Amino acid sequence: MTDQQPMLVARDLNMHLVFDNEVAKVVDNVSLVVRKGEVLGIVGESGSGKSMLALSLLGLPPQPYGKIVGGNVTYRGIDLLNPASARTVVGKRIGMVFENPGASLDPCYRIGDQITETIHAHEEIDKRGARERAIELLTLVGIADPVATFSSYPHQLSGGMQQRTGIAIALSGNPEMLVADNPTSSLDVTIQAQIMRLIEDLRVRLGLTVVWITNNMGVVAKVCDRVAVIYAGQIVEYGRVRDVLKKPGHPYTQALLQASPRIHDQQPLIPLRGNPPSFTDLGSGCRFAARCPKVVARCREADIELRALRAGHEARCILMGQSS
Amino acid sequence: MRFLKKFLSRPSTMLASAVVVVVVLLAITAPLVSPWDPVRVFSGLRNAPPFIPGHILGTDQAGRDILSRLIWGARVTLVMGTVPVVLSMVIGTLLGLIAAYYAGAFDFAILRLMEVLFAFPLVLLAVLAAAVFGNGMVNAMLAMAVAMVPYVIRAVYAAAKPAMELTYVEASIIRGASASHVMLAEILPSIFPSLVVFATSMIPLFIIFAAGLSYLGVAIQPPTPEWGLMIAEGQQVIQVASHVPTVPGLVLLVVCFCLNVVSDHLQRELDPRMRQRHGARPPAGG
Amino acid sequence: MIRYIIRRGSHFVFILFAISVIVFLAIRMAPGDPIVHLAGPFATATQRAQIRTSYGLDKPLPVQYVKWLEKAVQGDLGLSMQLHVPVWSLLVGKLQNSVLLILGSMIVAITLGWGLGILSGLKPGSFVDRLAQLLAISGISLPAFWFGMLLIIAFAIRLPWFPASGIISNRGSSGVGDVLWHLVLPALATAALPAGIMIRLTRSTIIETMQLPFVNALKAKGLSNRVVTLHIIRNAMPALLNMTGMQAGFLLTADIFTEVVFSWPGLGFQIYTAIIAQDYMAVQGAVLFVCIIFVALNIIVDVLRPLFDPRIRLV
Repeated sequence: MTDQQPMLVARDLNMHLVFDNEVAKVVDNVSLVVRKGEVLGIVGESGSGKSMLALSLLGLPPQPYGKIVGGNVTYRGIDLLNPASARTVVGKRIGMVFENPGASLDPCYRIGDQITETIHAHEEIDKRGARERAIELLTLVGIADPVATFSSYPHQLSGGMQQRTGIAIALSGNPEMLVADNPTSSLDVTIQAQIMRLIEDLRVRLGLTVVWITNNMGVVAKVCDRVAVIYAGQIVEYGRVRDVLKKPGHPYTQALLQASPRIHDQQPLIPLRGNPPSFTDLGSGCRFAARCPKVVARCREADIELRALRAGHEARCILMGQSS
Repeated sequence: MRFLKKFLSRPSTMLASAVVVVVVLLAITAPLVSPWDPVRVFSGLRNAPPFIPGHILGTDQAGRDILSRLIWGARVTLVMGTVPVVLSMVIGTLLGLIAAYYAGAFDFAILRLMEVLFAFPLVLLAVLAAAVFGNGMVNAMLAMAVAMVPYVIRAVYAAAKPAMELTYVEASIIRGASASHVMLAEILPSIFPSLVVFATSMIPLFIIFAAGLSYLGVAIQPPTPEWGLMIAEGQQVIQVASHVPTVPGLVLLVVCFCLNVVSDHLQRELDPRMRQRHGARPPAGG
Repeated sequence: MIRYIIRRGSHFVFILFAISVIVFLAIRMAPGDPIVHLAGPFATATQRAQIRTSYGLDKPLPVQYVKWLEKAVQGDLGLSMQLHVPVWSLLVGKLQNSVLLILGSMIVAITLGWGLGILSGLKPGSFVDRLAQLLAISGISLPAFWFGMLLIIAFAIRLPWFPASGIISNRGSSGVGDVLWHLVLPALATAALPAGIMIRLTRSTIIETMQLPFVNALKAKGLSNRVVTLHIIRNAMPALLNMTGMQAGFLLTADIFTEVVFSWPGLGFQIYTAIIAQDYMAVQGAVLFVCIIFVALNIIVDVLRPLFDPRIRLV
């Protein structure tokens, strides 16, 4: 099913937001591998650092406060932390789709210009050719009247159309990989389903490798092959979807599952209390300790490492393997 | 206490705050610390340069000791910078809150009034008012306060209107809280920090504005010492004794500079704090 | 668009009306009697009465107001009591000089404000940023009239490079070059405050804009830093232009301080001398004049906004 060839490899990636008198460690020693053809899910609550991670994986710590302070990220061996080499990859071989499409489009430029600008950045092509390609892309993502949309401004489009445009932009460099950061959370429910179907369609048609970032376990269950669970900037669990969902090793994963609606069973939903910790106030010890139903004294003593549960499945918890 | 520590964390702010405190103390204790009476004339010692015995900053064109006039002038200048700000903040905040709370007739009337006031450029309004109501410190302060009110109303309105949509405010209204309670106990606390920042940034501007009005002769009258007036009077002897108009201006510059540094730091402490403190939400969204 | 202009226009008229009433009343309420000034200390009561009648000051206030308004609407703002020339032509002449001063100052202020503001906003915490902030705080802490004096001491007295006052030389050549030479010091002095304000506002606008989500999206498209920066500036433009317009409008009367220091014969200086001379007609006319320009400027700035921000529709 998948080629097992590693495409995007992150090793011990650390990204900090450096303010005047505080430092927020939003990405903390994250390592992961995205293999060709697979769909990797990155899941966590709002505030867990998912979007920050997504940007860091592309070597784009948010300015003006973000800094990558350690580790590395490579794409097929090309260093993404080096701006010169990253330019051959970012936007061209990796395309990114963002949450809140209205805010991710430049409000002062027309849609067509925003697409052709990307096309021109990555290939030698004349204006007419770029325009034709842009219209093709708009058609590909299911926009009914691509020519009219080409001349429109973002605020003139509906949420669904804005996101389709976002996807078109992400595809304009002919990428092999797509990073989708919560692309449907700000859309109406019916549109959400359309967009998800569109992305899945495109994945199959164009042979894309996809990284799905979401706060919805349902999405993970439906489309992902592998999943990384994020909490407070760290990966707390990582493995194949069927392993993680059936036998979660980390209490946070378990809590997320218990709080997700399931059609086929009648178990009550158990919400997860509290909020993720502030990135500037992280202490030592397990970061989930404050909200963990299984916490013991030992959890707070020292930082916890990722440990293997079984082949290809790790979790960051010292209580794994014990009866819940 | 922790706030104070955080506030003084940078050396530049510490220095600036120290300067401001010193100036305020000097102003308060003027009768004790001033070497001479500010209006006392030392005949035969006009335009004396600095560092002569007895007059470390020299004397002005009328033979009065500059240092003493500076110290006594600090009272006037500081009061003229602060009182109009406080006055206009109080009036403007009330009107702004009322306009935000009572949409409809009040809203309409207050906003129309503001439009008319806004049509008068700030300086013109103050100069005109000072000219109309006569010279003098009180009139000048009233004029400046009136000129500033529309800006305060606008700022408060802009901050309070969105606050009306907050759930706890709506809840309070539904519970039958009186208008004054909602405005003062619910909305005001949430916009208070930004109002404080706004006010502290206005004070140095108003000090300069007041000095300017005195310079034009429409505020403080001689022989009362005031830094702007000292500059105006000193302009006459600019060719022979340039220190006379220069020194008061330098003092104005330094004091306002320090006030601005303090106000900036206050703003940095109060604003981003509110964004960061509340949970892990990093700026670009979870 | 037309509807918008009509609506703003009618607002404009209403405001002008309100202003004219306020100005008229305010000046009449001022202490002191201009007739005393005009007639001189030796005039008899009859002579004063005669002068009063000739200026129509013996009629009741509402009548005076209506008469004045009638003429004003036709562009006749009466005769200056002090100088005995038509107020309108007096003001228009001075307006030119003020506009010159404002243009000169705004060129300096925009260059510093936008330039340093953008540079420091793009790299907060850098050396350029610290320098820009230092300059900005100095600019807003400098009293303009004192700064002007300092410039005079330094560059007109100690180093006789520039003239110390006025707009043209008394002897020798006058012409564009001469006027520009006279403009340098006053423009610098007047530019300090707006430059400081604009550096700070530009800086914070750029920083805010930089953190908007679409900037990350632009970078993820693989665009070069230069292109991304252009996008950021482009998006900041509406706010920057608004700020610039407001500063220019503010300078219309705020330059009164530097005009007085340099004896620059502009609108501010004119109002100042008219107030001191209790020249009712001139002050009334001047204030109305200035307010009209100010409000018109605001309307123009508002009408131009959609040009730079496609989201704004004039409603």
